[in-house]
Amino acid sequence: MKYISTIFLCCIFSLLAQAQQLDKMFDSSATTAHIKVRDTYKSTRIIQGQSTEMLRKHELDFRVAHRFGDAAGEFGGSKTFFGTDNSTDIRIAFEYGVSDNLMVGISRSKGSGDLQQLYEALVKYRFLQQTTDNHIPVSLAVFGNMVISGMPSASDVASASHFEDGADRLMYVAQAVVSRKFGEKLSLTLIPSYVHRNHVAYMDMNNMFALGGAGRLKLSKRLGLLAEYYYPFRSQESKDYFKSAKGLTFYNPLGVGLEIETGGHVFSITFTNSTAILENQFIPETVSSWKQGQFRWGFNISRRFTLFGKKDWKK
Amino acid sequence: MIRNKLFLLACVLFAACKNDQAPAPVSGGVNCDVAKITTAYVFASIQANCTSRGCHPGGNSPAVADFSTADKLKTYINTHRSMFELRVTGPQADMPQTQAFPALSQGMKDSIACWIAHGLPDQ
Repeated sequence: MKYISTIFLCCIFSLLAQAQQLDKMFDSSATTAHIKVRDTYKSTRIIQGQSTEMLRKHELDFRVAHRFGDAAGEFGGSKTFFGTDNSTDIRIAFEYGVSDNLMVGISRSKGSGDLQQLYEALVKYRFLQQTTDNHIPVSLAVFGNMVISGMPSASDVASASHFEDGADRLMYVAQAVVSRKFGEKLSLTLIPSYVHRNHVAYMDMNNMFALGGAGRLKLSKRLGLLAEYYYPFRSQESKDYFKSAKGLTFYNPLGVGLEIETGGHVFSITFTNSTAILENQFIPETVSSWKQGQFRWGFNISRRFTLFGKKDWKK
Repeated sequence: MIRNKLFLLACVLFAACKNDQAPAPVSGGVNCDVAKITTAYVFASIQANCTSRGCHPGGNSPAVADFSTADKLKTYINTHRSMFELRVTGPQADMPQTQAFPALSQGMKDSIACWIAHGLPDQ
């Protein structure tokens, strides 16, 4: 499995290394004859996962994401004001557009799962952008991140948060994001994903593939309806162990939301069963269920600033 | 130049990549049928893990979860048992939070759960 993951991630980095050349190739073809499709989504993220939207060159995106506690069920309802008294995860991020097709970022999140106090470094590159004449029928981006936990090591050696060395604190995600905008109103996305965690609990999986699907239905010029779903390929053996030994059942992350653009800000109100915000956790570690009222509301706020080269950006 | 830097970064990332799994938990760590978990034992753990760095002192936020004395701890559990179990002993437990406290061991969570199940006995 490690060889597969190594090859997969190597492919991404080698493709990124050829970014400049590809950039030129597609730009020249697009500007001469083909008009690029824009605004497949309003933001670089859909609900929790990545979209094929990118920051423009020299644009800085300040992002805040928040997930509250269970809205219903045993721990929700009016006694916690439908989850508002609790927060399951909070993320603050700065993301920057190196070019119109390459962005990098750093973030800090609370974390919700085996590991907490998470520091993330991310990179996303868009290889293809859909054109209106179907010369390029889809947009394609790749995303990768590395996350390290700063939490103290647990004394219990059987815990996933017991660290023998610094490498035990690391997690990685690699994703390919494929989007197509159908007409003016509908956008659909497929997100094949791969999660690697260096150190996991007994019978958990270090390497996990997942397939994500997402979409947006544009309701008005500034308002869109979002949906997102991931199917993690966890082994039956692992599911059975966690259910019998720990009473844990894993559920597939499902989110719905509203995307609102308010001039410079993009604001998303979301409802998800997963408690975590980062892919490294919500894909393999979601143990809360919509059917049991274990869904929560949350929000993503994105505020963009133009830094260097403002004149170039305006052009 | 960019290509070289990216290749170097990839090498660093993969040098740190490994597949490591924690050992199986020791089964039968706490046999609740015979274990005698007392208030003093649990409260000592609460003091070490939950109140020693300014959290849950009563008076500061969150004022409701006041664990500054054993009686206040028991009062909180009696009035907010489901919340305590959710956040301290349950499978989704997220306490202690991130103020540099290490996570509670499964054995300690089991001991606290056992103490609650027995009705918070002092002896």
